[in-house]
Amino acid sequence: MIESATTSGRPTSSADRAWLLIAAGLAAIPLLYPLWTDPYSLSVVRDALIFGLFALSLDFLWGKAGILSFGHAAFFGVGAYGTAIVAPMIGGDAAGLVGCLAGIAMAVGIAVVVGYFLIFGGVRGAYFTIVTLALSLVAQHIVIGWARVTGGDAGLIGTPPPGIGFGEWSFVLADPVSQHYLVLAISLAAVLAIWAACRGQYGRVLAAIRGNELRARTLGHNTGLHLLVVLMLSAGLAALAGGLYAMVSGFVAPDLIGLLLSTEVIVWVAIGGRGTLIGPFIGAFVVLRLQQEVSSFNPRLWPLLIGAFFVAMVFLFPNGLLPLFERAWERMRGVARKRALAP
Amino acid sequence: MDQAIPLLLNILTLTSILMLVGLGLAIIFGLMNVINMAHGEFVTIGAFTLSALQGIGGSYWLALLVAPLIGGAFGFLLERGIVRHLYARPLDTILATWGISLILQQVLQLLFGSGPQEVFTPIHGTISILGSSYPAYRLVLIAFAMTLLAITFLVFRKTRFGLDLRAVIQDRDMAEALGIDTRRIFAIAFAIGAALAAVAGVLIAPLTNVLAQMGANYLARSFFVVIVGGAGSIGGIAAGSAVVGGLETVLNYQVPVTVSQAIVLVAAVVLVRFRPRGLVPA
Amino acid sequence: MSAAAPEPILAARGLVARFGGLQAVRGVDLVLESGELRCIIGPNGAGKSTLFNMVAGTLRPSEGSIRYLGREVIGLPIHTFARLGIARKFQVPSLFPEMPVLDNLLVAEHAGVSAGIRRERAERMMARLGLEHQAGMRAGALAHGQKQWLEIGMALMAEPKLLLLDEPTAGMTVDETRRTAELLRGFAGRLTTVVIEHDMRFVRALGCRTTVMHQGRIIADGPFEQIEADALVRDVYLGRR
Repeated sequence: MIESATTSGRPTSSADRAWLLIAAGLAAIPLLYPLWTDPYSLSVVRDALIFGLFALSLDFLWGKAGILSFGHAAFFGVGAYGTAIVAPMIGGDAAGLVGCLAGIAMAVGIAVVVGYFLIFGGVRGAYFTIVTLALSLVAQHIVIGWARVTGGDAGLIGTPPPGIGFGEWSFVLADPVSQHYLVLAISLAAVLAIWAACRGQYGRVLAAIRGNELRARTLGHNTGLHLLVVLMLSAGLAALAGGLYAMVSGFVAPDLIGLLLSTEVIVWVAIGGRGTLIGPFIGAFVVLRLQQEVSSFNPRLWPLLIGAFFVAMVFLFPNGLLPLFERAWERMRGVARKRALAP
Repeated sequence: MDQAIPLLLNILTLTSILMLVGLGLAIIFGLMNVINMAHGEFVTIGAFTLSALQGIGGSYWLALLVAPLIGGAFGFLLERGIVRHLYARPLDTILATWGISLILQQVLQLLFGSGPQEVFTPIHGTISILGSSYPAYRLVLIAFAMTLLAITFLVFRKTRFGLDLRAVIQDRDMAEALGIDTRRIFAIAFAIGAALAAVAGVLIAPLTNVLAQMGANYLARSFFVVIVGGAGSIGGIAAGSAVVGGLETVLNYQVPVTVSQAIVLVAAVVLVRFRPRGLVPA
Repeated sequence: MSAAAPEPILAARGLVARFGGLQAVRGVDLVLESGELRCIIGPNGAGKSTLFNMVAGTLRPSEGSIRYLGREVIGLPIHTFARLGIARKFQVPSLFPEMPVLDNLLVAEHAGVSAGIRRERAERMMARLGLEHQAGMRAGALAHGQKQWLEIGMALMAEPKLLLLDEPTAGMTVDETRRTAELLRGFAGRLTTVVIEHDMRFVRALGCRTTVMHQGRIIADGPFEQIEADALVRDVYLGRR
């Protein structure tokens, strides 16, 4: 099975190896893509990767720790807006990165405060999800209302691209190709980091919390602390994605922090396969592509489709599309095997 | 004294609206632990009903009668078609009803366009209350909402249906063992909650922008009402509405609306830490 | 100078558990010596599981005190109880059905030992439980008796000092019950074990001090043979009192 649920034991079981192979194969595409494409198409792929990274952050929270956030774009948006607001104040080549760090710090700060009160207040499940929804809603209202700082409905332009500089020496990534590789590197690092962390005991503990939190607690695990840490890391990663988006596109707007994006990222993770880590990237790519096609046909149609998707997802494929493919794959292998055995 | 009366009445206005919207949500949540993310859309449906009716020459009072019927019908359909199948799956209910909410919003936009809908206040002018003048419409709103809530309270307390409802909230299995048709109770309670929210939509429409997305705001607020006040009892909803409505109204005088909403969110989050079941737990 | 009596591992006194108007436990004292094997029996509703809930930290007593290794533990978080060495097996099976058997054992080890040592302990435990061949199987797919054993194994993984077993042999075959009794008797002296049970054959096989609860109180306490012969206990079980 490709699921990253820990099959304990040997350092690299065959399931792990299969997963690594697939991840490597998939990574090869964006790695080599810049060689044959134009800057505009590349920037589209680059942006899709960033959203994939955002989806990964939700997958960590939802797929690994079992907490559904309905307002995850709040963290993405705080990262984006933090970068866009702080970077111009600093100046210099590293302004973008410093702004990004500020955005991440703000997002993690919010996660700590909200997380502390909710998690240690024993709030789980539906109530928790509602509060995250309200978080995104409120964040969106603040961003639209506080126009003096956030640019209101129009947003902010002028976020510098990522770079660093020491005195004379300046290293700025201002073109789509180098930015693409930066985002790709960060995405790979994030996926590998989460994958490695979840392979061992930590992954098992998270799976136990996901399955039966009280039981995990009676086994000696400080579940509240674990959940808070996951929330903080997830928020930080989402903010990093947001900051990257601000830096490579140079522009932030309220749609980066609001409810629609918060729900779209749930769709990406759901389609790609909750808990698979690479699934969210695939989900983001597939759905964004679909969105472009549908929206060019009729922009009204897309939210309608998303709504229909949510309903379909619940009734038809609650575990994402990946398990459906896996079952189809196994059925094909089963047929092939039978054919091989037939006289 | 001059300021206090209008302030109090403003608090009462928001509180009574929140109670109407929150009641439906709370009963459902207290009953079956189901969160209906499309609950805000019932408010929207009520407001749009008013606009549509007034558009073809109907009266405001007609809308007050028709909207709960339409809202109730939608609620009944939603319960039948979607929610009923997901009772044991709270997070799936959230996802599915959220999908319905998106669909409803888009359909409304497709049918009526995305700009604000026009509605007309039935009552103009102000009334003098204890030395200050206050919009007459708001007074009528408060009176109407309070009456409706009182009726609902009586139904809850004095009728057979209300008794059955309370029994199911207390202990569902026991109620079933006693022969109460819990599924029927759920369906009716759901429809009533939707109808109340639709009435709230009609009442609030002349005071606000009637847009297809207006529901989200009421959804969030009514969830705070349930979180703060506690689900499953009218007293809890009253307490929650008073706190949320009061806090937001008072803050609106001092700070921009967005900040006051943020503060209410923070207050709800902090409160839930210390009273996880709400001020008046079920 | 005579040696002072060793401190009891658990000294719970005056425990009361109140739920609204109902008192599930009314003034119970429970003192356990280190290494002791104790049985708690009583008709349904006697308050046995509630007593366990208090000692394991999942329920806060309305009154009373619980001293574990000399330290007052009421009010500590649940995971701290486990870390202090109190392990519990619930009455209702509560392992992690989606996770493999081996993972269930691995996750039950909360101490910061190395992965290698943890694995070794888990494999040894599986051998002891007779589950070596089911290591990769979904725990939910085990037979009922195997699930019970896995849960006992999970409780033992963290090398607890106090083990609370709530109806460990429920649904087990006669043979499994016998083996469980042997296992528990083997712990004597090293691990303090308290068992809630209904199966009298099992309780007899354990041959230990037995405490009888009824309507939230302790009504008898002593060696099993004495309890077996006690008229009051018999009446309570037959519903005459």
